Amino acid sequence: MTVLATADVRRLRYAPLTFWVWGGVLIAAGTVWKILKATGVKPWRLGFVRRLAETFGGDALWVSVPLALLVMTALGVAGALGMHALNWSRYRLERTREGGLAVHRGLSAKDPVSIEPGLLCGVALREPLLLRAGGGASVRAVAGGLGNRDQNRTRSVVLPPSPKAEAERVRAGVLGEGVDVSGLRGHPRAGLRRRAVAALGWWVLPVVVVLTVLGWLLALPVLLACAAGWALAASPVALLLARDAYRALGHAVRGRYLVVRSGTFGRETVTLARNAVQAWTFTDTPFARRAGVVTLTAAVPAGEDGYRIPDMSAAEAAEFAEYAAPGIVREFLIHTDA
Amino acid sequence: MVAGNPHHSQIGRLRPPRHRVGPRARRWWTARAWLAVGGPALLAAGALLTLSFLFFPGALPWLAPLTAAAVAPALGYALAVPALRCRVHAWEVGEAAVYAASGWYRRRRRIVALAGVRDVAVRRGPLQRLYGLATVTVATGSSAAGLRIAGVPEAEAEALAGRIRAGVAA
Repeated sequence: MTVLATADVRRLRYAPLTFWVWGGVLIAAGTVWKILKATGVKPWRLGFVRRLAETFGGDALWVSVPLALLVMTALGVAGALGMHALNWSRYRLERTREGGLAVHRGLSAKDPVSIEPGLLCGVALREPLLLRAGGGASVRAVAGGLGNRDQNRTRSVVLPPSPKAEAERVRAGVLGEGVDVSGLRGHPRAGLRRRAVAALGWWVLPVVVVLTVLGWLLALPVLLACAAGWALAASPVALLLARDAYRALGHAVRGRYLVVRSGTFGRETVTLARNAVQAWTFTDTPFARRAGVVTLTAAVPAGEDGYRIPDMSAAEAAEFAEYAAPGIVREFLIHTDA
Repeated sequence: MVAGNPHHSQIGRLRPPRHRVGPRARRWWTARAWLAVGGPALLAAGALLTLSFLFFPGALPWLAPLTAAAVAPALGYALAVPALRCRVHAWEVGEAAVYAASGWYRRRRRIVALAGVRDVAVRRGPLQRLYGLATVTVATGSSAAGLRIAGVPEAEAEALAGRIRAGVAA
């Protein structure tokens, strides 16, 4: 039995690096609101709520809005630290004598999560946007037999947000060997264009259209100014995110493993055992076909079931599938001399 | 190690599966599209315009074009989608894998290794039965490795399922 990682108080600093800091506060506020509504308490009738509204509402919005955000962030950070302490105190990741994994964690004396050696198909190193900005990463085992999809997502976490170097060390420990994930093969430039178009088309354009139409219908020039402002402010951000997403794309075969990386909000570098691949799926739309790209999905009986290689070169996809997991697509290929 | 096939003299591309769906599948998809999308849209538009004509004739000049614009996508779907599906949908059972293509806008070509197949089933919906068609489903341990081959003639469906089962056993 070898211990791969143990609890470390210094990991707490990575705990608040998630958008759930704000999302969690909103959810908690929503729950409180529902409880108050169910018990028939009207919050705006309570004395201290009134006093708060009288003090901060109304005329000094430029003070009260940042103050509210600050309070919300503080509450969220406190909540994140609390949740981390609750879930990850007494944490210990072990490799069992049989070759599987055991994850001990949490304040309650629950049984450890155990991952059978035969059901472990790989490792996913996850770097969501904020965590990545803070130089951290978390690690999930790509494993089967951990219950349904939601249960799998909680139980498969083998390392909480930690320094990236430690995450890489744990990945190597779980895989039993170090796998080089640098120098992955990049994807065609069409991927960048497609990401930019999607970011502008789904994020920037809808708001501009709604504001412009409203401004025109209601004859409010201020809305038109808002639309222009939004377009000017949001476009560079959207393009930066698109470029980041494009640069994340990559795939390679490294020894017994297939390495796939993608994502900007939820960047994930997945290392999959090549012999665990059960099926390949090639997905494209008329636009993707014209751009010469295809999304290849490797199916494994573990984790998220399907792991996508988005927008890889259509000319290379079938060949790569055959090379990475030989024998599946072979008889359906036509060979043309290059 | 570099990604890609080391034998660069040959470039492999995925070819379409051998067995295309027949004219009966096209009729089934057409019926389904009209029953589920085109028909209801036309009925709703007809009812709306009739009521408008009877009680608010003044609204017709703007209501008629608006209704037409709302109904056009549904009609377009019912007219175009069955043909698009026919061009893509196909299947083939190989020595080591089963291959199926589907989707009218987002084309999905999936190749499942027979070694991982756990369950093969033939299903017939009520509308499919009218057209003598069936759906062959293939399940594995991974939801991303399942197949639904729809629009297979009933007589061929059992043979197809049998061939997949034989391949799994081999």
